[in-house]
Amino acid sequence: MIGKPQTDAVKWVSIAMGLLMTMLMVSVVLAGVLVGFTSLAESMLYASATIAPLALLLFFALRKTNKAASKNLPK
Amino acid sequence: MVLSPIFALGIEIAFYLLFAISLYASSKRFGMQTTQLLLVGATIWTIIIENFIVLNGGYDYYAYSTGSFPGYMVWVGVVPLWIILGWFVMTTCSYILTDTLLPGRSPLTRSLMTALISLNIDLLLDPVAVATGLWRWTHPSVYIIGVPLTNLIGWFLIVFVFILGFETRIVPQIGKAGMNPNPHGYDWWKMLARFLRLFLILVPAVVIATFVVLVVLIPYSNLSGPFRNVFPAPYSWWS
Repeated sequence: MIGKPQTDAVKWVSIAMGLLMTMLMVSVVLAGVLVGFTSLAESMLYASATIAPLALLLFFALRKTNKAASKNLPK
Repeated sequence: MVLSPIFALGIEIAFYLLFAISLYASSKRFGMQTTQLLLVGATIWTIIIENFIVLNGGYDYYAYSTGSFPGYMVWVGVVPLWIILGWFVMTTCSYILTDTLLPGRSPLTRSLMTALISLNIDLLLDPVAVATGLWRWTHPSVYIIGVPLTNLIGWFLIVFVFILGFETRIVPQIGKAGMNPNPHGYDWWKMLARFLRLFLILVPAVVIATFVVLVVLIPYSNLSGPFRNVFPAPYSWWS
């Protein structure tokens, strides 16, 4: 680890990625159908499938930093 | 499909916001000095690589251009600024996640993880960009959901090599300088010079590797031309 184990940084990364993914989902709707897909539903399914691994990683990162932060709380 | 010009401008502004958030997150995580180092490094890195590939007819950003307006507000050469900063957003966010999830692992593992997270983001970003005309691929290749395989390999390589270089050549020096976090900081200019010297080898390596992949895939192209390049391939790779 080269950085400080701060919950804050990961929280802000989650916010940035959340915004980006929301923006991309809205764009999928605006575009109608992504190239190579036959319907909006299929396109949305693909979009959700690509977001899922990132969402999982963000979840684990947040959980890890939250645990570290709670350990450091004064008793 | 090209949408309203407002859409392109909205995306550009949204990326500036994402950049501000990522900059803040990075400064929280790595400190301001290292964040500035990453920012300057990533900016120079992507300005060279992106401009080079656009000027060689790989892709362009002119779907939203009109007679008097190039489609986006701020440009660095032939590449919009939000694209350059977008690379910083992707790389930094992926790197922070990797630094959190895989602390103390080898630089190779961490670079691989960072590149895979970035690639994961691109798996949605690129098809959306193609579908909405944010950028246009203009070279023959093996296309998967509208995106050339060259891009996916190039995307991975660009992030992987950048982070591997940073992890192997810069991070140990930062550690030596006792900055983790160090209130006195380190010699930023010296560290930047070291980073940029590394680019002299790595940038040509990435560009050549991407072009080799590009040329190798041309015979297997599943998309017929003509490819309307704003900047035609100067060496007639495919025109």
